Amino acid sequence: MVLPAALLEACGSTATPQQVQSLLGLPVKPVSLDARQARAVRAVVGRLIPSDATGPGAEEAMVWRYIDLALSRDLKQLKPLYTANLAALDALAVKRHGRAFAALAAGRQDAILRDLEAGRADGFTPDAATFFATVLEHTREGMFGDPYWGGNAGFAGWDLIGFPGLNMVTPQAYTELGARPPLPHRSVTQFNGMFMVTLPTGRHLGPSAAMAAKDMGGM
Amino acid sequence: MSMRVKPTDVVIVGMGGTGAIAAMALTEAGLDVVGLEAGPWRSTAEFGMDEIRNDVRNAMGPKFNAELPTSRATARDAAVQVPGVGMVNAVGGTTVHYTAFSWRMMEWNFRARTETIRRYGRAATGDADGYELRDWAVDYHDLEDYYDRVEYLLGVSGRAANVRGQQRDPLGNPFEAERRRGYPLPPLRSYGFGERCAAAARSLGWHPFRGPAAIHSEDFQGVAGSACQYCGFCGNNGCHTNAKAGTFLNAVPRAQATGNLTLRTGVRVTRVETDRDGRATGVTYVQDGMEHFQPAAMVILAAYIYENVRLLLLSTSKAFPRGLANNHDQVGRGYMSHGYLNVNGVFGERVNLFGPTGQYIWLDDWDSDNFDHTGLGFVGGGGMYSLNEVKPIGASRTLPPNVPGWGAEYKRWLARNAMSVGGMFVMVEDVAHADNRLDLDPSVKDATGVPVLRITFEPKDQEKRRLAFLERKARALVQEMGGESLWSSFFFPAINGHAYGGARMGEDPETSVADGYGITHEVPNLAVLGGALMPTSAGRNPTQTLQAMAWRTADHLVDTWSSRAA
Repeated sequence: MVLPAALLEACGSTATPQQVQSLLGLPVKPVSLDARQARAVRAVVGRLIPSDATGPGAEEAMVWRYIDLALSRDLKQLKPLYTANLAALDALAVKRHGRAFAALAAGRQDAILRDLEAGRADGFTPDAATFFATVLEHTREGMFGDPYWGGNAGFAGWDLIGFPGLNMVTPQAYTELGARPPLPHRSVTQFNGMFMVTLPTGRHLGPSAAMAAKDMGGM
Repeated sequence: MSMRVKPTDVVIVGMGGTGAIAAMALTEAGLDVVGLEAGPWRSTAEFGMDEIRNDVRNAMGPKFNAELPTSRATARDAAVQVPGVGMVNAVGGTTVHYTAFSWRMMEWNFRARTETIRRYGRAATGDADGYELRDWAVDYHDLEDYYDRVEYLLGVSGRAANVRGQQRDPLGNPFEAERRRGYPLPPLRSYGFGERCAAAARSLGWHPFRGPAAIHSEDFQGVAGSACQYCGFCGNNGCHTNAKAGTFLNAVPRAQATGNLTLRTGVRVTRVETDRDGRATGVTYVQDGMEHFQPAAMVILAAYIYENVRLLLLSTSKAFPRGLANNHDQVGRGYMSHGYLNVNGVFGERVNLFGPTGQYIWLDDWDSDNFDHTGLGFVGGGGMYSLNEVKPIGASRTLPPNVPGWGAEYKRWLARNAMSVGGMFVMVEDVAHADNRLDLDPSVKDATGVPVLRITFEPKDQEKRRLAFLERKARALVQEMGGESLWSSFFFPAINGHAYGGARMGEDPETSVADGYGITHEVPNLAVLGGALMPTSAGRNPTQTLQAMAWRTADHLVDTWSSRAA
């Protein structure tokens, strides 16, 4: 049985926000999208949550990598959808402005994304609005999920909204109205191997499932 | 052909929230029980604070997801599979990751029909509009002892108001039914936003209190380190300090300690078998690709309601050509959901909702018959509770309708307000209606080629009026709390982790499937546990009530075993 003091100790981590993902060996190049698709995804997520005075946007937070890694494993079934719709997106950009989506100015990219959102674009599967909603959802997941999933690099998403991150023990003072709890930049992978984690690359961290189940008195 | 395994007194399908309780009570009375569970054991090491894994991917219910029911609004619509309901396949079932709100029902819930007619007349039942407002075949007073036992087994944290009618705690729930003693643990600690909610509710003349949860506010039964640490990744996640009282932590170990429980994990039950006389003989299940037959004197179905109903409908035989215990065409009828209403506002400061959902302020002022329904056009109501457990992806989706969902303005809004959004939820009651039901889907099959269940459900006029009424109340409260730019969202999902009916309890075999113990009218050695039995949905979480009922069923079987075995 784990005591609160041990819990607090287990929270310790010396990794900087920038080091977390490289320590996990997450790839820096796309593994499931090709170069053209990756450029398009980077450009789209970069407009959905842009970089500005409030901080880094989804492109800098490596949200495109969250999507790329998810499409290689957990969301593999969505890969054909992304492939077809990213091609449709570039085709639309070429038709309107003569260049791929990633090469367009931000204003033109935004105009195209607004049309997708409103369903005012043909050639998408099952339709433009559904694809837009899917990418927006994945962008939010990548921006605000745990960095081990590939996005939220440097904890940019959690810092943006002031989310205090992971506390195994939350002091009551953190939950008072108006309180500004510290932002300790902790990933679930940083609890001294306490938790089983499957990285989006397939690598397992922490105790094995069999060991853990045995520990619970299972058969 | 299936392999016949050693016979047992009782076989229980599902070792979740209710099956584990029955297994405990039966084995402690000396009966041999075989528990068949589709999922594995889960451990604290799997319960990391991880919103993508827990809330987005919903990875703990692979069997549930693989045989997901289809749903449609009406019989004219096409039924499709809609993912997103987080059920768990595991020892402990969905109690592994539930929010652990742990309630007794209002006394009214058990007698909704009788009380409605008494106070408002027969027309108020909605009979003429196709509603099936029913009484339960069990009463609050039948369950009070079992509620108490469950609270002390799990270690429920809460504030009792009405102990033996003697003491009325002004900070407790004035609508609470009489109980024999207080909760074993004090309520979970307060939080700033909850206090704001309680103060605002009191200024409206309402009655807020800290709601009960099967989460230990302090070390329970002397187990050091078993108290909640308020990590705030509680819903859709197991608890890494074992503060959340899933049945895999209490009832199952107790059953194992008797030596009378044979627990088989990773097995898929496919049929309940019957003989020519229409008695259940046992169940067929698949383990590692091999089919087995488990003979049993008594069969108990304790899966979630969808799988309980599906197994009944799939288990056809000469005696039961339309499905087991379905010769009166009642299986699948009376299906109900819960509506979820959420009224949010932006507050002028951070509200810091980082505790578990089970750390909450609740109000019963607008539930059941705690207010005058004259002229309102609906019965029942819903419990109202304060928001907690805000996680970052969820926060990024929670926007007022006038804020764009992406781009620079979206990002600026999030930076300024994402941690300042707070509000109230309402769990909206649903009343059974003749149009809303479950049956087998005629075309969609699971990976093993077996039809999945089909849900036909839409909220009817009463539900819409109830929702609109409760929305006005919730808005008044959020406004009083100081929220600005209020906005509401609600959905009444067809497929729901809060689903009810399909094997309703009742006195009359013509209009119900089971009696007050969950024993089916048509098959004397077959019982159903869980929400499928419920004739009304109530406006609160059902688990503790279903656990109390399961314990009572087990005691009844023990008491009558000698005559049953003969």
